[in-house]
Amino acid sequence: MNPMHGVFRGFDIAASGLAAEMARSEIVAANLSNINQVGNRESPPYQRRAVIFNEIMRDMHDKGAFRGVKGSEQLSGGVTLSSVYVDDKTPFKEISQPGNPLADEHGIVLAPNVDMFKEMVDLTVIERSFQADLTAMRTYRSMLQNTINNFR
Amino acid sequence: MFDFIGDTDATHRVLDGLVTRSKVIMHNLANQNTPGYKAYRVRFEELLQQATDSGKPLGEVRPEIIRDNSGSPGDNNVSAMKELALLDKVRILHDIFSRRAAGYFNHMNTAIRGRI
Repeated sequence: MNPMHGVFRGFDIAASGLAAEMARSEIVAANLSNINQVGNRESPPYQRRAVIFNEIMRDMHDKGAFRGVKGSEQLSGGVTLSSVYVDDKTPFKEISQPGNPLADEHGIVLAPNVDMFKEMVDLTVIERSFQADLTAMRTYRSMLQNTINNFR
Repeated sequence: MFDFIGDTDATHRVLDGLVTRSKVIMHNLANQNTPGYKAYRVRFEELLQQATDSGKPLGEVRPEIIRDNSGSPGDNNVSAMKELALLDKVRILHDIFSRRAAGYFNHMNTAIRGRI
C-alpha cells in the first residue's frame, strides 16, 4: 500500500496551500519591485501580474487523499496555482517627467498599473492565509503525535 | 463482558471519520483564496447513529464528503477561523477516541497476562 494515501496525505494538502500562497507572494514581490519601471506607447511599462488558484481535481482513478470516501470522486486534496496572467485591462498611470528620455512631446511617461496599497493589502491577506495553513498543519501533526503516544 | 470487536470497530470508524474531516478542513484552508470555491464537510456521526439504531454492523460505515453550498453563488464561503476552530475540536475528539482504543488493547493485554 502506498503510504501517501493514508494519514500522511494530510500534510501534502496543507503543504500545497503553503506552496501556493508562497508563489503568490513572489508575484506580489515582482509587482512591487517593478513599480517604477516606466515606459511609453512604443515600449510599454511593466504590467501587473496576478495569479489564479485552482482546487486540485483528479480523475476517478486517483482519488488521492480521500480514497474510498463517499462523495470524494471529484476531490483529490489541495490547491494549485494554475496560472499567472498579465493584467492588461487596468490602464497605465500617466505621470509627468519631462526630463525622461522615454517621455512623449508633452513630457508624459506611462507608469505601471500597479497600485502599491492594493499589493500591500494582498500581502497581508497572503500572510494570514499562510499562517492559517501552517496552524492547521501543526494541529494535524500534534493529532498524529498524540495518537502515537496514546498507544505507547 | 465487553464487546471487543464491536467497540473497536466503532472507535475505528470514529477515528477514520475524524482523520477524513481534518484532511477536508486542510483542503478548505488551502482553497480559502480560490475564486468560487465552496467548502466541503464530512458527515459520519449521523451515519454511525443510524447504523446503531438499525442494528447494522458499524464496520461498514464510511465517512461521506458533502459540499456546503451556502453563500452567494460564485463567492468563496471558507471562513479560516471557523475551520481552525473545527480542526481543534477534531484534535481533541481524536485524542479521546485514540485513548479509548488504546484502553481496549490494554484490557486485552491484562486479560492475556492475567495480572494487573
